[in-house]
Amino acid sequence: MMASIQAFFTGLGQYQFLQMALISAVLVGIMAGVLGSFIILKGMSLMGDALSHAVLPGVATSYMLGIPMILGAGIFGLLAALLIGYASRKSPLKNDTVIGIVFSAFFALGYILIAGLESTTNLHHILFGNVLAVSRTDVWTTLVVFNLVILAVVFFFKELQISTFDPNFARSYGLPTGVIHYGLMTALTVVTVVALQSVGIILIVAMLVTPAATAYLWTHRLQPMLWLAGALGGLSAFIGLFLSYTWNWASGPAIVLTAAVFFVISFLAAPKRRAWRGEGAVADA
Amino acid sequence: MLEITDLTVGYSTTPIIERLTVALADGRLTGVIGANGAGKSTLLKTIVGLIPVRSGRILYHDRPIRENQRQIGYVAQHAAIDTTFPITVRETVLLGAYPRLGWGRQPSRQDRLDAEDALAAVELTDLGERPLTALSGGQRQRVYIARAILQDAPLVLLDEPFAGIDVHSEAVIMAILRQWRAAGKTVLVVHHDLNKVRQYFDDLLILAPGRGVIDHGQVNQVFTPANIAQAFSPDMESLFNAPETEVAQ
Repeated sequence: MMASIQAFFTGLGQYQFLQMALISAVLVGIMAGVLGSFIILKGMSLMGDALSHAVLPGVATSYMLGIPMILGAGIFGLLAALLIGYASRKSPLKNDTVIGIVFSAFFALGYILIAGLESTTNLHHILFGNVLAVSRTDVWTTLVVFNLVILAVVFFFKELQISTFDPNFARSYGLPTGVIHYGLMTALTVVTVVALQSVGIILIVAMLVTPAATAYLWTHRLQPMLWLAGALGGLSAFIGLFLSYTWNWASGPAIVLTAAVFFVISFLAAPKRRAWRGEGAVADA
Repeated sequence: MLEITDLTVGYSTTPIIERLTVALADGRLTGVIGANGAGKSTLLKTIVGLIPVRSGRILYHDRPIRENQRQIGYVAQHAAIDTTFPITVRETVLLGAYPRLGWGRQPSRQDRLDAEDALAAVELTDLGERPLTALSGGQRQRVYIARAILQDAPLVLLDEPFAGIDVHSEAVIMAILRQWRAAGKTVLVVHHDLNKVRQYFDDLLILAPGRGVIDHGQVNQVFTPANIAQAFSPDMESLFNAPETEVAQ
């Protein structure tokens, strides 16, 4: 084990690709944890899954047209969010039904488009990540997105908090909760795009949900939850990349499994679970 | 003065509220009563702006109410609020300062001091650091009232604030409502316990499903057997007339 750790750090010192991979994966882990906290608190885990799948045709279109992937994928992600919102409002169908229809249709379209492009890109890498092919440009893009997302969460903390906790109160004093919702969806789409190489489309939802859910088990306040979710996301990415490098596992599944192990440990040990079992519950005075 | 004129809300075939006209004076505690489906909660949500107006208008101090949302304080039914959210009692009260803060601005030291005063007013100072989820229904309702104290809006709308809460919490909340009345606020309360109507309210707005406003005015004048029978069912009239018998919904 020690030898593996030593080899990983030696590799980090020697290989630029590994440094790029690590920086990118950790940044993605942190921001997915922070953003994912709002997603799980809003009860929108399925929406996170949907948006990450819905960017696939955008990825294909970006390859075809030679435009930045973040642009093509961003457009399709936001289009899916708008379609889901519109169809939910204008039909008697429940939200999760509409989400299921829209994201599977987008994903199917993306699959067909990507399959036609197989000579230029690798579908497997898009679906499950290929963190070892992260370029310097990718790292810069991730860094810019990371800064924007974290700054937005810090600056709009109050608005995100109130529109997540009590949207009726937020709307009652005139806060445009719809704008905040679509802002969050845009951020989610952009994070999905930069996470493509680290964890891939299929598993990004795990990075949004698992560290956030783990953090939720440990705290009763939003700010510590965001810090903890970010830290767990970053740490899962670090350890997952080490496992990926050492045993030649695909990076996405390695990162996601690490996050899942943190969740299982927390599920068994965290104070909130004890409270639900009645061991630490506060008296209903 | 809150003036609602010819208000219709809901679908064109089945309006929930149809051509409702009423004017509520400042410095009065007004109760809204009526059977299920009479549109009590819908009326509040429409004034707040959560449900769109199909036709008619709502003016507050002679201006369209939508021109200044910050003058509205709204306490929803407490079951409608997500109590699993990670937030403490103190933080929940502090949310009352948010309406007057611009985007990206954080509550000031004075806001935090005011939040402490609001917590004290609802007798929850000792529970400030508890998670909201750990409180009883009555305590949580007092937290939302404390948030409304901090918000300090001139028009306050409360949707069944006494539903499912203990006697002490009810007394604490009622004391706050009376303070708001004394401060000249317009206070509108959806209420279901007919036994407390005379004791709690100055004015009463009585609604009935599909029939709109049955009556509106001072409690002593409109809380009559005939009106109650119209609003609920004819059986209520005999109950109402029986001496020393409590009126149940």
